[in-house]
Amino acid sequence: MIAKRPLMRFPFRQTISIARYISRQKRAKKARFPLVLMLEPLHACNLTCSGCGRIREYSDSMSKMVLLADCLKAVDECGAPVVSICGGEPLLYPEIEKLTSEILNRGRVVYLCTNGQVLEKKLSLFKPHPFFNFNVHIDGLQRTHDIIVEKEGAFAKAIGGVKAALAKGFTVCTNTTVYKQTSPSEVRQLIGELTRIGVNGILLSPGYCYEDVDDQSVFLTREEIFEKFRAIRETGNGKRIWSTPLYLDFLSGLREYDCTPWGNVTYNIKGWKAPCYLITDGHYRTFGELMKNVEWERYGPKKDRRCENCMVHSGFEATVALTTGDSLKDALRMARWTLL
Amino acid sequence: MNEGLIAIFGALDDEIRIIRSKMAVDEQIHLKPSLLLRGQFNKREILLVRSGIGKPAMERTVDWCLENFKPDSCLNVGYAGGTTPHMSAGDLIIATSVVDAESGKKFPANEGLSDTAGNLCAQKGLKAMRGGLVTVGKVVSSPHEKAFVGTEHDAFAIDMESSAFMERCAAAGTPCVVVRAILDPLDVVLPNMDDVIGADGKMSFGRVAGHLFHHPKDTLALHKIEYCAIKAREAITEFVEAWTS
Repeated sequence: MIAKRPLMRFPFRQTISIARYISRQKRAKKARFPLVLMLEPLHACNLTCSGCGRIREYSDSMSKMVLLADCLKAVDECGAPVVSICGGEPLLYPEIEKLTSEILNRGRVVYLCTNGQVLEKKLSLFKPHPFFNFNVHIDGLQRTHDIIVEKEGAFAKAIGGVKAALAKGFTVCTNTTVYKQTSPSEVRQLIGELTRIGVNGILLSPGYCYEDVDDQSVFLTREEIFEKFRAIRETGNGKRIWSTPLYLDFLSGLREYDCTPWGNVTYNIKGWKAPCYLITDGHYRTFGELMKNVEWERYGPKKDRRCENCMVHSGFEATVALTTGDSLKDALRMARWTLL
Repeated sequence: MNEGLIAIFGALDDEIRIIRSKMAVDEQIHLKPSLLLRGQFNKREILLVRSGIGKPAMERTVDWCLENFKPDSCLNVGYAGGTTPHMSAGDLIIATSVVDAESGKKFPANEGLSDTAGNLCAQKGLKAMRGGLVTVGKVVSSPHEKAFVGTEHDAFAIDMESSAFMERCAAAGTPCVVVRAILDPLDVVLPNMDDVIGADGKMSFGRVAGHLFHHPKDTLALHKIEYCAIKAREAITEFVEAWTS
């Protein structure tokens, strides 16, 4: 039996909060403003996923953690309406409960991104909240997921965590990274399975070819991404898909977008990561320095070699959010998609 | 602390080296691969035991000591690997419980002894945390695997003997406590030292030299491990001095 879908695709109050923020920034004529803060309080992780660049890039700071006060300072400095607490595995952060509640108290939407391995055990640390979402990383059905995350039993644990969180009234979405070996039919099956379980939303994105990952053969070129996502979309978008239709059009090669690297900014133990979530050219001490000093125009698929095959949602969903209003047709399509 | 005999168990020579050097030894018993030393430490009569690596060696040694010496209480000290980012080299972990990863059995700590251990650490300014400990059958060296094992068993640290210690003490009804010091924090990768440390828990210069000859890249890693071991060993010794005072 398929769990009943709420009336609206997204939690309504979250949508309004983000829309108000964008409106305020545009009225203030700000040229660049982040929509999402990727907050990495630590890089320690209990898995070694094949496609993860983070645990490899920050292997020398695995035991370091950002102090709670510094995390909150980053949230305040940045002002983004959405904070994605990631890592590493954020459920290993000793003050995750306080961090989450303090960010919620600041009126931000929170996505707690987890591999789900200890989600069920740690659920008692959290309370359902209209602005709080668990985002569980699931890259395929059981066999595929366990291979990608290099741990047998990981899929079962993650799904167990998802079910337990849903049963307790939490909003739960999932994030699926698509690699070269990912089978489109399996992704469709996974969407079906997650829908049946009752997840609130499903996010899809191609992986990024992190230079630190040894096996580069897992990553897709742009052409391969188009082919893969056209095949994934063959059965329609699905009512629980939270990746926007315009972004999915982009992934299917049906429209062009430039990247908005400052749309998702990242803060971790080394500071404000520049220029974006995926590439590291350096770290800045303050948010202001990051926004002021990075030469944003240098980055994007036609500008930097490292961006050539990048179509990850962190840079391009931000573009969708900020440019949809430029076209009435797109705006209506997005409104219909969001509200119905 | 009452005045009866305290038995202190460690697996490796290295863990109890300083304690042994400060001890006035009255009796020495070889129980291969273990070594037992009865004598005076800090003006207390103690039985200091080097069991050798692994659960079988610890089980056998604990059983033998409990049968033949009947100590009033037992303390297991030694090195442990950190499974969470907030434990640093030399930090002590006072086990509130010990889980055996292979069997899943869980052994709760003696609350009175754990409280005493906690109070002593606070008095002496030793950085200590109370939390779960997990015993594994083989060395877990990678940060992610340590984190995974820790999260699986709600443990702050990993070792290779303490579940056996707890099980045998519980079977004999002898109060016991486990206090370990972090040797390898989460982000420190332990090099494979199987060819360096013998089953009796002893390390020889010759074995170390041989290992480095075959694995020169481990030179830096061993240097870092030795630095961590100094801190861990000093913490263990300070704790044992407090425990026996």
